[in-house]
Amino acid sequence: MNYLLGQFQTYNYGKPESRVQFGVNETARQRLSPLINPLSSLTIDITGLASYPTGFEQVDAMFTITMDRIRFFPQHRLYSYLNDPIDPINTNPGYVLESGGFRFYPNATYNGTQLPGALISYVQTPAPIFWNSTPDTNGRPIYTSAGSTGLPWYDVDNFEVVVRALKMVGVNLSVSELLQYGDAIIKQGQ
Amino acid sequence: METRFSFIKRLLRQIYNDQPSDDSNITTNLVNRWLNDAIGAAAKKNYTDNLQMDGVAYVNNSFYTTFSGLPITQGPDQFTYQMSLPQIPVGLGNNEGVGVLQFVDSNGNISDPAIPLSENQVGYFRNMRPIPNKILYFSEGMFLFALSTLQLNNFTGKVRMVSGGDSTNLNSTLNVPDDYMPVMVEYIKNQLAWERAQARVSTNDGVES
Repeated sequence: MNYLLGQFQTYNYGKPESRVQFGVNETARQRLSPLINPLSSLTIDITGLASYPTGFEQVDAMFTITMDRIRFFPQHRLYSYLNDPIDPINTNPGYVLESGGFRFYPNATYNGTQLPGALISYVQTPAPIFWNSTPDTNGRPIYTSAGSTGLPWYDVDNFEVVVRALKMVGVNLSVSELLQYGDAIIKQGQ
Repeated sequence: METRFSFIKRLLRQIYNDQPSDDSNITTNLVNRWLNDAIGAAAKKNYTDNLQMDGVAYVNNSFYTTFSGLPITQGPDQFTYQMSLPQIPVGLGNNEGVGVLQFVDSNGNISDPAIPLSENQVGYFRNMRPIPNKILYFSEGMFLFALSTLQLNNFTGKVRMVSGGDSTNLNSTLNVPDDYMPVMVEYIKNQLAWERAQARVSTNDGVES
């Protein structure tokens, strides 16, 4: 996804906190929107753990079931968040990221207060692009829509995807060059 | 009139130059804490302004809030009753902290206001001639002590004091007049803009940031 649509986020070394969130830039948001479903529910166990949803790539937003915010807690600030008298953890929940999923605080094991669940908006892994075909009588592959998976993005982004994909195989195709070529055709004729 | 919440939101909009993001560190609760300090600063400004303009030091009525239903318990000493105030009274010059104290019974009957003692009078009032049929009081930190030979446990306290209102209820009205809002805005903006402007280590790790 990043190869094709570009690097949406940059990270600080050692800190799993991006400098720019997805929601910041409307263009980035628009490009990613085919990969962001409406809010879905997470089930949280008594240790606060909730598995990553299927196809999970990146958190977009996290809320309680009553649409209060759930913040991301950097691991090295977890103690401070848990013991903050100004924003008590019970009314200001958060999560850290672990290999098994999200670890929510507060939770029943930590202090006896259990979150009833969470709502998450996240970027999903796009389905693999697949060009399905059936051979004709001469053995040539003929496209068939059954079993094929197209690009999930909008047309304007598909163009970007094609350009980047071609770049990856060594073909440089950019809008400016296309325009230059078009100008040349207009002025000189074919 | 402005509620605490709308005032806090106004400040957050200014500090973040936008709506604050969902993971913002300058939270509503944090600004609410600063707001208490700012109300004190505004009341002090009002006190000194009044002294300059009128030649008399006082805090304008607009800053006062009445809190009622305060439970009264037996105090540490004989004939002393105590109640907890919603906040520590402001420490302005010649001000007894709590302007008015009255007692309310279960039927809603209200007593006459009690007589306040200044910090000096607390030290020597027992050597003075008693004021007939009057209850004396003084505040100390977050407690208010009433001195009476009457049983006050069955009453609740009703106090009027300089306060921005109920700091625990964000939907309560902010009891500060509009002409002193800029004092509060400047105070809080300075604190939080300073917090926002702190450099964050973004290229290194393993050090406190």
